Amino acid sequence: MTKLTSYPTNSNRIISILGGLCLFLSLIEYIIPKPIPFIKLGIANIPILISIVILPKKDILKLILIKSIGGSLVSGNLFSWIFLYSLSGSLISGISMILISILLNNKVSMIGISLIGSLTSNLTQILLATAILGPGAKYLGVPILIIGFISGTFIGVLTNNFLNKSVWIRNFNK
Amino acid sequence: MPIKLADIAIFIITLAIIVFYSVTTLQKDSNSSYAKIEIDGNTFIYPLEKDLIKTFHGPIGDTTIEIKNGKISITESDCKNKICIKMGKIDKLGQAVACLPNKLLITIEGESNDEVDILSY
Repeated sequence: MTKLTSYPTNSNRIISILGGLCLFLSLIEYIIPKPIPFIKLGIANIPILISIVILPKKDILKLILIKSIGGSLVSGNLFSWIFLYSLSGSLISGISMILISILLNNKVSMIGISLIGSLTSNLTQILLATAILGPGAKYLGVPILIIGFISGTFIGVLTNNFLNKSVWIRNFNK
Repeated sequence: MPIKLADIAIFIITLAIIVFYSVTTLQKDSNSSYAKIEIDGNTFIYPLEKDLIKTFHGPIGDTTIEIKNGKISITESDCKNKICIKMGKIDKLGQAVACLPNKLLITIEGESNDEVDILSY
Protein backbone atom coordinates (compact mmCIF):
# COMPACT_ATOMS: atom_id res chain seq x y z
CA MET A 1 0.00 0.00 0.00
CA THR A 2 2.76 2.45 0.83
CA LYS A 3 4.15 1.99 -2.69
CA LEU A 4 1.14 3.86 -3.97
CA THR A 5 2.24 7.13 -2.48
CA SER A 6 4.53 7.62 -5.45
CA TYR A 7 1.46 7.82 -7.69
CA PRO A 8 -0.72 10.37 -5.96
CA THR A 9 -1.70 12.05 -9.22
CA ASN A 10 -2.31 8.88 -11.21
CA SER A 11 -6.01 8.57 -10.53
CA ASN A 12 -6.57 5.57 -12.85
CA ARG A 13 -4.50 3.47 -10.49
CA ILE A 14 -6.49 4.64 -7.50
CA ILE A 15 -9.76 4.04 -9.32
CA SER A 16 -8.78 0.45 -10.00
CA ILE A 17 -7.71 -0.16 -6.42
CA LEU A 18 -10.84 1.39 -4.95
CA GLY A 19 -12.94 -0.43 -7.59
CA GLY A 20 -11.38 -3.72 -6.57
CA LEU A 21 -12.14 -2.87 -2.96
CA CYS A 22 -15.76 -2.19 -3.96
CA LEU A 23 -16.07 -5.64 -5.52
CA PHE A 24 -14.44 -7.29 -2.52
CA LEU A 25 -16.78 -5.52 -0.12
CA SER A 26 -19.78 -6.37 -2.36
CA LEU A 27 -18.80 -10.00 -1.98
CA ILE A 28 -18.53 -9.66 1.81
CA GLU A 29 -21.92 -7.96 1.77
CA TYR A 30 -23.36 -10.80 -0.34
CA ILE A 31 -22.13 -13.34 2.22
CA ILE A 32 -23.72 -11.57 5.20
CA PRO A 33 -27.20 -13.08 5.68
CA LYS A 34 -30.03 -10.63 5.13
CA PRO A 35 -33.21 -11.24 7.11
CA ILE A 36 -35.17 -8.77 4.96
CA PRO A 37 -34.57 -8.54 1.21
CA PHE A 38 -33.50 -5.21 -0.34
CA ILE A 39 -31.99 -4.14 2.95
CA LYS A 40 -28.25 -4.23 3.20
CA LEU A 41 -25.49 -2.60 5.17
CA GLY A 42 -23.87 -0.77 2.26
CA ILE A 43 -20.23 -1.43 3.16
CA ALA A 44 -19.48 -1.54 -0.58
CA ASN A 45 -20.02 2.22 -0.56
CA ILE A 46 -17.05 2.91 1.72
CA PRO A 47 -14.55 3.13 -1.22
CA ILE A 48 -16.85 5.62 -2.95
CA LEU A 49 -16.88 7.80 0.18
CA ILE A 50 -13.09 7.57 0.32
CA SER A 51 -12.87 8.51 -3.36
CA ILE A 52 -14.72 11.76 -2.69
CA VAL A 53 -11.75 12.89 -0.64
CA ILE A 54 -8.89 11.66 -2.82
CA LEU A 55 -10.14 11.53 -6.44
CA PRO A 56 -11.03 14.26 -8.97
CA LYS A 57 -14.81 14.64 -9.32
CA LYS A 58 -15.22 13.01 -12.75
CA ASP A 59 -13.26 9.94 -11.68
CA ILE A 60 -15.69 9.39 -8.82
CA LEU A 61 -18.42 8.70 -11.41
CA LYS A 62 -16.16 6.15 -13.12
CA LEU A 63 -15.71 4.41 -9.79
CA ILE A 64 -19.48 4.41 -9.23
CA LEU A 65 -20.01 2.73 -12.62
CA ILE A 66 -17.40 0.09 -11.76
CA LYS A 67 -19.06 -0.49 -8.38
CA SER A 68 -22.56 -0.80 -9.85
CA ILE A 69 -21.70 -3.09 -12.74
CA GLY A 70 -19.12 -5.12 -10.81
CA GLY A 71 -21.23 -5.35 -7.70
CA SER A 72 -24.21 -6.63 -9.69
CA LEU A 73 -21.94 -9.17 -11.35
CA VAL A 74 -20.86 -10.41 -7.92
CA SER A 75 -24.39 -10.68 -6.56
CA GLY A 76 -25.81 -12.04 -9.84
CA ASN A 77 -28.23 -9.19 -10.49
CA LEU A 78 -26.60 -7.75 -13.61
CA PHE A 79 -29.42 -8.59 -16.02
CA SER A 80 -32.38 -7.96 -13.75
CA TRP A 81 -34.45 -5.00 -12.65
CA ILE A 82 -32.40 -4.80 -9.47
CA PHE A 83 -29.43 -3.65 -11.54
CA LEU A 84 -31.44 -0.71 -12.86
CA TYR A 85 -32.37 0.27 -9.30
CA SER A 86 -28.80 -0.09 -8.11
CA LEU A 87 -27.30 1.86 -11.03
CA SER A 88 -29.70 4.80 -10.87
CA GLY A 89 -29.54 4.94 -7.07
CA SER A 90 -25.74 4.89 -7.11
CA LEU A 91 -25.45 7.55 -9.83
CA ILE A 92 -27.95 9.96 -8.27
CA SER A 93 -26.48 9.53 -4.80
CA GLY A 94 -22.95 9.89 -6.21
CA ILE A 95 -23.85 13.15 -7.93
CA SER A 96 -25.54 14.55 -4.82
CA MET A 97 -22.62 13.52 -2.60
CA ILE A 98 -20.21 15.29 -4.97
CA LEU A 99 -22.45 18.38 -4.99
CA ILE A 100 -22.65 18.41 -1.18
CA SER A 101 -18.89 18.03 -0.85
CA ILE A 102 -18.32 20.94 -3.28
CA LEU A 103 -21.01 23.07 -1.65
CA LEU A 104 -19.91 22.49 1.94
CA ASN A 105 -16.23 22.07 1.23
CA ASN A 106 -14.36 21.41 4.51
CA LYS A 107 -17.49 22.16 6.51
CA VAL A 108 -18.84 18.60 6.36
CA SER A 109 -17.39 15.25 7.41
CA MET A 110 -18.01 11.82 5.93
CA ILE A 111 -21.04 11.30 8.18
CA GLY A 112 -23.01 14.06 6.49
CA ILE A 113 -21.95 12.98 3.00
CA SER A 114 -22.81 9.35 3.76
CA LEU A 115 -26.25 10.30 5.09
CA ILE A 116 -26.99 12.36 1.96
CA GLY A 117 -25.84 9.46 -0.21
CA SER A 118 -27.97 6.94 1.62
CA LEU A 119 -31.07 9.16 1.52
CA THR A 120 -30.84 10.08 -2.17
CA SER A 121 -30.00 6.52 -3.22
CA ASN A 122 -32.97 5.12 -1.32
CA LEU A 123 -35.37 7.83 -2.48
CA THR A 124 -34.35 7.26 -6.12
CA GLN A 125 -34.91 3.54 -5.82
CA ILE A 126 -38.29 3.99 -4.12
CA LEU A 127 -39.35 6.43 -6.85
CA LEU A 128 -38.26 3.99 -9.54
CA ALA A 129 -39.97 1.07 -7.79
CA THR A 130 -43.17 3.09 -7.54
CA ALA A 131 -42.98 3.79 -11.28
CA ILE A 132 -42.25 0.16 -12.21
CA LEU A 133 -44.16 -1.87 -9.61
CA GLY A 134 -47.04 0.50 -8.81
CA PRO A 135 -48.00 2.73 -5.88
CA GLY A 136 -47.79 -0.08 -3.31
CA ALA A 137 -44.00 0.10 -3.42
CA LYS A 138 -43.95 3.29 -1.42
CA TYR A 139 -44.90 1.44 1.77
CA LEU A 140 -41.73 -0.58 1.40
CA GLY A 141 -39.87 2.73 1.43
CA VAL A 142 -40.53 3.38 5.13
CA PRO A 143 -38.39 0.55 6.57
CA ILE A 144 -35.80 0.99 3.80
CA LEU A 145 -35.36 4.69 4.60
CA ILE A 146 -35.14 4.09 8.36
CA ILE A 147 -32.58 1.30 8.05
CA GLY A 148 -30.72 3.32 5.39
CA PHE A 149 -30.48 6.19 7.87
CA ILE A 150 -28.95 3.95 10.53
CA SER A 151 -26.55 2.21 8.16
CA GLY A 152 -25.66 5.53 6.50
CA THR A 153 -24.60 6.94 9.86
CA PHE A 154 -22.66 3.77 10.64
CA ILE A 155 -20.82 3.77 7.29
CA GLY A 156 -20.08 7.49 7.71
CA VAL A 157 -18.52 6.99 11.15
CA LEU A 158 -16.54 4.02 9.85
CA THR A 159 -15.17 5.99 6.88
CA ASN A 160 -14.42 8.98 9.10
CA ASN A 161 -12.32 6.80 11.38
CA PHE A 162 -10.59 5.20 8.42
CA LEU A 163 -9.68 8.56 6.91
CA ASN A 164 -8.39 9.79 10.28
CA LYS A 165 -6.16 6.79 10.95
CA SER A 166 -5.02 5.55 7.54
CA VAL A 167 -1.37 6.28 6.73
CA TRP A 168 -2.16 5.63 3.07
CA ILE A 169 -4.68 8.48 3.03
CA ARG A 170 -2.43 10.80 5.03
CA ASN A 171 0.17 10.58 2.28
CA PHE A 172 -2.38 11.84 -0.26
CA ASN A 173 -3.09 15.04 1.62
CA LYS A 174 -1.69 17.86 -0.34
CA MET B 1 -12.18 14.93 9.79
CA PRO B 2 -13.94 15.72 13.05
CA ILE B 3 -17.73 15.94 13.17
CA LYS B 4 -18.81 19.39 12.02
CA LEU B 5 -21.90 21.51 12.46
CA ALA B 6 -23.03 20.70 8.90
CA ASP B 7 -23.06 16.99 9.82
CA ILE B 8 -25.47 17.59 12.66
CA ALA B 9 -27.61 19.77 10.37
CA ILE B 10 -27.69 17.07 7.65
CA PHE B 11 -28.43 14.44 10.32
CA ILE B 12 -31.45 16.38 11.56
CA ILE B 13 -32.70 17.32 8.06
CA THR B 14 -32.41 13.72 6.85
CA LEU B 15 -34.25 12.45 9.91
CA ALA B 16 -36.99 15.04 9.35
CA ILE B 17 -37.38 14.00 5.68
CA ILE B 18 -37.67 10.33 6.68
CA VAL B 19 -40.23 11.06 9.43
CA PHE B 20 -42.23 13.24 7.01
CA TYR B 21 -42.16 10.53 4.33
CA SER B 22 -43.20 7.82 6.78
CA VAL B 23 -46.04 9.83 8.28
CA THR B 24 -47.51 10.93 4.94
CA THR B 25 -47.18 7.45 3.44
CA LEU B 26 -48.76 5.62 6.34
CA GLN B 27 -51.52 8.18 6.90
CA LYS B 28 -52.89 7.90 3.36
CA ASP B 29 -53.36 4.21 4.01
CA SER B 30 -56.78 4.52 5.67
CA ASN B 31 -60.05 4.80 3.82
CA SER B 32 -59.39 5.89 0.32
CA SER B 33 -62.17 3.56 -0.85
CA TYR B 34 -65.85 4.26 -1.41
CA ALA B 35 -69.05 2.29 -1.86
CA LYS B 36 -70.64 2.09 -5.28
CA ILE B 37 -74.33 1.22 -5.27
CA GLU B 38 -76.04 0.11 -8.47
CA ILE B 39 -79.80 -0.28 -8.45
CA ASP B 40 -81.86 -0.98 -11.54
CA GLY B 41 -79.46 0.85 -13.85
CA ASN B 42 -78.71 3.84 -11.61
CA THR B 43 -75.37 4.29 -9.87
CA PHE B 44 -74.73 6.03 -6.54
CA ILE B 45 -71.39 6.60 -4.85
CA TYR B 46 -70.94 7.17 -1.11
CA PRO B 47 -67.71 7.63 0.91
CA LEU B 48 -67.28 5.05 3.66
CA GLU B 49 -66.09 7.61 6.22
CA LYS B 50 -69.51 9.18 6.78
CA ASP B 51 -72.28 7.30 8.56
CA LEU B 52 -75.43 7.04 6.47
CA ILE B 53 -78.77 5.26 6.30
CA LYS B 54 -80.56 5.36 2.98
CA THR B 55 -83.48 3.57 1.35
CA PHE B 56 -83.57 2.68 -2.34
CA HIS B 57 -86.56 1.74 -4.46
CA GLY B 58 -86.20 -1.38 -6.55
CA PRO B 59 -88.49 -3.48 -8.74
CA ILE B 60 -89.98 -5.45 -5.80
CA GLY B 61 -89.80 -2.92 -2.97
CA ASP B 62 -87.48 -0.99 -0.68
CA THR B 63 -83.94 -1.84 0.34
CA THR B 64 -82.22 0.05 3.17
CA ILE B 65 -78.43 0.29 3.35
CA GLU B 66 -76.40 1.48 6.28
CA ILE B 67 -72.84 2.86 6.43
CA LYS B 68 -71.42 2.71 9.93
CA ASN B 69 -67.81 2.79 11.20
CA GLY B 70 -66.46 2.56 7.66
CA LYS B 71 -68.51 -0.55 6.83
CA ILE B 72 -71.55 -0.88 4.61
CA SER B 73 -74.37 -3.40 4.90
CA ILE B 74 -77.97 -3.96 3.90
CA THR B 75 -80.16 -3.70 6.99
CA GLU B 76 -83.66 -4.06 5.60
CA SER B 77 -85.04 -5.44 2.37
CA ASP B 78 -88.40 -6.40 0.93
CA CYS B 79 -87.03 -9.47 -0.79
CA LYS B 80 -88.11 -12.99 0.19
CA ASN B 81 -84.95 -14.84 1.21
CA LYS B 82 -83.02 -11.95 2.88
CA ILE B 83 -79.67 -13.27 1.64
CA CYS B 84 -78.48 -9.69 1.18
CA ILE B 85 -78.89 -8.98 4.90
CA LYS B 86 -77.15 -12.23 5.84
CA MET B 87 -74.14 -11.27 3.72
CA GLY B 88 -73.22 -8.88 6.51
CA LYS B 89 -70.94 -5.85 6.55
CA ILE B 90 -68.23 -5.23 3.98
CA ASP B 91 -65.37 -2.71 3.99
CA LYS B 92 -62.54 -4.13 1.87
CA LEU B 93 -61.70 -3.35 -1.72
CA GLY B 94 -63.38 -5.73 -4.16
CA GLN B 95 -65.97 -7.08 -1.73
CA ALA B 96 -69.62 -6.97 -2.77
CA VAL B 97 -73.12 -7.35 -1.34
CA ALA B 98 -76.04 -7.96 -3.66
CA CYS B 99 -79.81 -8.19 -3.44
CA LEU B 100 -80.68 -9.92 -6.68
CA PRO B 101 -84.50 -9.84 -6.46
CA ASN B 102 -84.34 -6.08 -5.96
CA LYS B 103 -81.54 -5.63 -8.56
CA LEU B 104 -79.25 -3.89 -6.07
CA LEU B 105 -75.49 -4.33 -6.01
CA ILE B 106 -73.02 -2.74 -3.59
CA THR B 107 -69.29 -2.93 -4.37
CA ILE B 108 -66.30 -1.33 -2.67
CA GLU B 109 -64.04 0.56 -5.03
CA GLY B 110 -61.04 2.81 -4.68
CA GLU B 111 -57.29 2.91 -5.04
CA SER B 112 -55.87 -0.55 -5.45
CA ASN B 113 -53.05 -0.25 -2.90
CA ASP B 114 -55.11 -1.14 0.14
CA GLU B 115 -53.52 -4.31 1.37
CA VAL B 116 -50.89 -6.79 0.39
CA ASP B 117 -52.36 -9.95 -1.10
CA ILE B 118 -49.25 -12.00 -1.65
CA LEU B 119 -45.60 -11.46 -0.83
CA SER B 120 -43.02 -13.63 -2.50
CA TYR B 121 -39.28 -13.37 -2.59
